[in-house]
Amino acid sequence: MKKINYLFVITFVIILGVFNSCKNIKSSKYINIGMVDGWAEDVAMTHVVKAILDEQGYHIIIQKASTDMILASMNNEDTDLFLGVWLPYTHKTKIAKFPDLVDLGTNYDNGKIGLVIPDYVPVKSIEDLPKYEKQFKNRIIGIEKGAGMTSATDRAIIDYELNYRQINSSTIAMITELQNAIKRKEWIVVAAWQPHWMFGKMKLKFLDDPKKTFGEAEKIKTYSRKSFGKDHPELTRFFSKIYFDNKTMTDLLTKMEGSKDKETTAKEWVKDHPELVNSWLDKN
Amino acid sequence: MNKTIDIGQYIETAINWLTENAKPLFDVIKNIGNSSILGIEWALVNTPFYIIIILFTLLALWKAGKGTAIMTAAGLTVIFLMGFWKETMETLALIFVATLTALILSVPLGIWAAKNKFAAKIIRPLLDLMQTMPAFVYLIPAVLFFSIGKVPGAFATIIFAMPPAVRLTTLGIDSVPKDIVEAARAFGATNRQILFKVELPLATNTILAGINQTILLSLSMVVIAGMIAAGGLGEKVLEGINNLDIGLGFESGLSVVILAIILDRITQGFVKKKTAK
Repeated sequence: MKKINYLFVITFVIILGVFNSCKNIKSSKYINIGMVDGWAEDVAMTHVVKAILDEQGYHIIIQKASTDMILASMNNEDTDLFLGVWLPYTHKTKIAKFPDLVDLGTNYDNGKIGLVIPDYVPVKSIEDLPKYEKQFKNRIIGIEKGAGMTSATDRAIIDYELNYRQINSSTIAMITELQNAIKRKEWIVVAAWQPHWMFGKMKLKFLDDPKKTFGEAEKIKTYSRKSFGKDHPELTRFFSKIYFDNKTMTDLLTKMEGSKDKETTAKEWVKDHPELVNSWLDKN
Repeated sequence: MNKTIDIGQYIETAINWLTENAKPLFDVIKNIGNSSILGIEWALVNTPFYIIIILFTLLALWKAGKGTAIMTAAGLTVIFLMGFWKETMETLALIFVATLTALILSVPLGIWAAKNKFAAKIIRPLLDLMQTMPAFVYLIPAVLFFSIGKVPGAFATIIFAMPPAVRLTTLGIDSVPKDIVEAARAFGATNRQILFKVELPLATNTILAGINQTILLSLSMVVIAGMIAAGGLGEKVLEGINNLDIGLGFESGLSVVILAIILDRITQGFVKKKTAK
């Protein structure tokens, strides 16, 4: 008899949960945004959007995963939005796999990827790298395997005929290596991108890329699932209008980097920039 | 890297075919999974924390003795004071659903493997595959079938955590002394009666040990599932890693450990109680 009682309690909880979650699913005010944790600019923009839309009565759910996982989930019509698509170069092949996704607009248009060195290293261009193989220990410190940045670096190694190996682990491992090298004034070359808080925190410079392997200025775009526009016509305009210039982006990234509680920091930032936010919301 | 045989391509074709043609089925599974996980999560998060601590402590006291009860109360209080209560409850809901599903699937499979030598020959290597394939690999089909979120997290967890329960169920039934089964048959017991009245009760301890292993393996899958937005403590651990935040990573990792110890001791308590009789 006891066993039946347990079963009853469990069933009851599940039924309760089903009712409860049905309520959630039907209410269209729930919006899922995919976010790559560790990408400073994506984390910052996603939290700003959350801060703004939460105030408008939406419930923003941030789903943390990697780029491809988020794109696949959007392709299944589950995740609604992703604010971190880098085009026309970095994510070109990834986006090509999912032709149904919708481009909602550009959030930032001065993005740049490439090889980065500390300010004190007297090297100018990627073409000079073969001369300094010893000092750099034949290594380029990269980020995750499979990232767009990583394949671009592999292409550069071929294009410039470099006798270098790319060491891949993770974004944060790359930054840690960079910080340690700067502490000891060692030579190091890393695969990095702008906007990123590391440019505010450390003195760094991009190596010239005369063969344009890393492309020119990149746009960071918002993409949505196919029928997001149909389900939320009131929001597509908002997302198409979001735009950060260099100054606001740097300001936001610097504030977010030093903060322990990103949600609160984003809320404060939104409060400090009423004009910009209102122009996105068509409130001017 | 030249490929002479391209096994990956066949797997990819199969997975893609499933994604396209079995979508309605996956949607049903996803909805059931989502509502049960969210439902349990809702119940756990909305119940005041002290009631849950008391319930767990009583359960520990009943099944595992005073020492475990004190440790349970202290451990859960530490988790609450560190500020990881909500995440811990999310994790608990996820592994509860994952473990329950794993058991519903694995006990019958284990019985089948014990009864049918041919089935055993197919199931064994499958279990080897499930256990040794790097757990990250499961994330790919999980996301293709169920998108990112809690259900794919549970899916990957189930595949990873199921094998010990199947193996130990088979072992438990295999190790029931043959003369007891023969005696039962001599008294006219049917196959069904032998299974439910003789073999399963005698194998309970081994099966419970399997359940215990399944629970612990689910917990170790939690961090990996965090990579596909399954939430809970895994997400916090990854946040610590991605932001090089030693404090956050250690605290959330510690919460996983505390939860593992509590669940382990309580389920082991169920095994010991049976042995004592």
